[in-house]
Amino acid sequence: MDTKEAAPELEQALQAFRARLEKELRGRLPGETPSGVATDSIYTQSTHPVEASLGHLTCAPLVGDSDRSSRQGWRVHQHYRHPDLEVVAGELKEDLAAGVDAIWLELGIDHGVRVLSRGDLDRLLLEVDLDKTPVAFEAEMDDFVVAAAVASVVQDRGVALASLTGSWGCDPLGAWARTGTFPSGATGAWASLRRIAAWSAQETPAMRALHVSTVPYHEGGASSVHELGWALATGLAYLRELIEAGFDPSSASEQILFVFAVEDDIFEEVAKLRAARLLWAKLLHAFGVHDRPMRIHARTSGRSNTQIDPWVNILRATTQTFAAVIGGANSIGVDGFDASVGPSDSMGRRIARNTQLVLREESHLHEVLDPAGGSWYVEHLTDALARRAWEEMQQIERVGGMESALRKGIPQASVRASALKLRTLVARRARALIGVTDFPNLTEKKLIRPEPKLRDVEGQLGRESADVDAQRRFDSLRSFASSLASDLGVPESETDPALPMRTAALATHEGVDLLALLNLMRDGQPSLHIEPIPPLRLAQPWERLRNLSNRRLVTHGRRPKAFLVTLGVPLEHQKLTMWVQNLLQAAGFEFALHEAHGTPFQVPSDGELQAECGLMIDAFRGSEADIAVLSASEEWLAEIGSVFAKALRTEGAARVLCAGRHPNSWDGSGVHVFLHDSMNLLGLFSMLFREIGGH
Amino acid sequence: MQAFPDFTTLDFDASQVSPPPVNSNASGFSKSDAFKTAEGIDLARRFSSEDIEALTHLDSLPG
Repeated sequence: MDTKEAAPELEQALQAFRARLEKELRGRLPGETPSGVATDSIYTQSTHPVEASLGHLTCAPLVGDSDRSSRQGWRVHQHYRHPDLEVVAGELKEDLAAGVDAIWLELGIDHGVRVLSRGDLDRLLLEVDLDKTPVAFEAEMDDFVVAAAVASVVQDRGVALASLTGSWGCDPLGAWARTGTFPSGATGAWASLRRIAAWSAQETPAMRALHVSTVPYHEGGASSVHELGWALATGLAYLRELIEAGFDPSSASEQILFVFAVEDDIFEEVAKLRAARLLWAKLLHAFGVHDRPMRIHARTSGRSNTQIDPWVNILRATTQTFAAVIGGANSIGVDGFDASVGPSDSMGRRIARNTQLVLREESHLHEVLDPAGGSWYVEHLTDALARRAWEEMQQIERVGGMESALRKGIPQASVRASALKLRTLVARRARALIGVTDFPNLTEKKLIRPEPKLRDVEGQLGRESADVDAQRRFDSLRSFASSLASDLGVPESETDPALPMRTAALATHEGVDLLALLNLMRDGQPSLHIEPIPPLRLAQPWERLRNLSNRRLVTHGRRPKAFLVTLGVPLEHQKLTMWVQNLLQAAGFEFALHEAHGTPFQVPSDGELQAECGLMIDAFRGSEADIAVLSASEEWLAEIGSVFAKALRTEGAARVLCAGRHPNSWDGSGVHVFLHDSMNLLGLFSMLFREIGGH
Repeated sequence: MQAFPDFTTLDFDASQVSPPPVNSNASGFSKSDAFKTAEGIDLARRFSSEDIEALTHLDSLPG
């Protein structure tokens, strides 16, 4: 690739800038993105082959994308997963009148919004204008029967199926990764996918039948490269199935909606979505398809959300939404700031949708397409992520594709490794979670979101099913069984692959519940199990310490306490002291601050030292602290730190800690542990909790 | 049924995707379809390398 020669004066300026930066940051240059892409501190025209990358920065795949090429901007979605369908029906009515463009329903027989029958779907969607409101369904392994029941509801309302917009959300590999189970085996899962796609292409052409969601991987801890590589591999697996079922590659690609979670690192997330478009365009290019853009639904990430100080989740959602828009998402779903605590209430949902509405209606983020295009840094990241993800996809293909990789536990192992890396960074506080690991508020009032009682909710399901004619119900069930059998080889299915869905819709109309349909579909098919990918919430271990601290406050009348001694002029140790204050509070410790020798360094006389030490000991005795911590400028620490540490131990401090790295020749100094960001601080404070009886 | 491409060997650089013509009406990205900022600056729906050809500050370090 060609790169431009930098003008000599620019080259000099760059060198001077880098030298100064290195000095200021003491070698701690930006390093790498969360996905491990090495980053420089500055990018210029001369450091990036901008002409070479212009081919994808303007994202050819955007062509023909009606949402983003119009002035309307992205579609504002709201996600719903409260188990009680009556609650969700009320939320839908409220939110659709308040700025939500489209709805995303996470639902099923035993997960998300609970539904068991066509009547349940009817009640759920009571206030939804189905031919005007796009609806995305995410029903995991219940996708086929949910689609059948919805189709029945739509037809009974006199709405044309062809007028539906949104997606049916069939994503067997994504659901498999999250749950670990194919209830009717891989054969059953793929058959269901083909049936939904064939029917949808015929009868609901404006709906996308399939999702390729990397959310289960992301929430487990996967990196951006993993997400992109596995999105490609999963998309490829679905294309393969659809092409084998008779779709041409172009129309097969039109059946897929990609779903990505977007996290807080704005530049990497922008590059991730841009790379996704580039990769999918390249993949389709190999099929001879050149004008089918990837359609992306982005949703805010849950893994960095916190239960403590959940208000900060509003800020996270804002940065994540910003990244999703700039990255080119067609639609976005923002979770309520309180979703990490329990079901979002009206205010949580209101702030979530207004986050999007402000960015669209007030900030006009949608007016220019791909505004990050041409940024040397973003182009570099886009290219680097895309190349690595392509290799990841190839590795998956070499083991037989995504299904085979999941059977072999390959993605699971990768997610485990990257989750461990994330956990380690959080345990060191090298990755900040504002409000939890940094700048916590020990006195905050806990946010409460009551969990619904599932037994009550599930008792209300399928109420109308008992009222219909038993013979008609039996006949409809037999018709459905017959259509499934035809799928297994009788020529009827070749002429009408949509028949199973039609008969299933009719059966739901006659009162057959979704579980009965599922059981019929699964009859004789052995289930297939893999290791599932559990979700990860990064703040959880630190929040556990805070919860222990809260409990100790109730049981003992006070929190664990540290006696924090500073030595020297505040300006010299301020940064270190703030770091250690944050650490103590993150771990649930309150502290008593004692400032000693608050003057520029000079070797103290014995008398001065004794006097300062005496004052400190008096303050320590009065503090009733469990542990002691020193924070000092280098000179003061070297001169008298050891004296203070030994005095504190003598006075009974369970542990004496010192902020900073262990200086040479400080063994026997009286300090038990030196605190720095390369160590497992979480593990240390968990141990301290046990030692002082905080558990 | 068409042959399925072998992605295990297909190089990343093997397929070059290219952007749509900036002024193509078919693409829906007409430059004349401008959004005016509060300062009265016209924003096209999409910008490309052509839009920065005449800019002189690109190879510099503002700030």
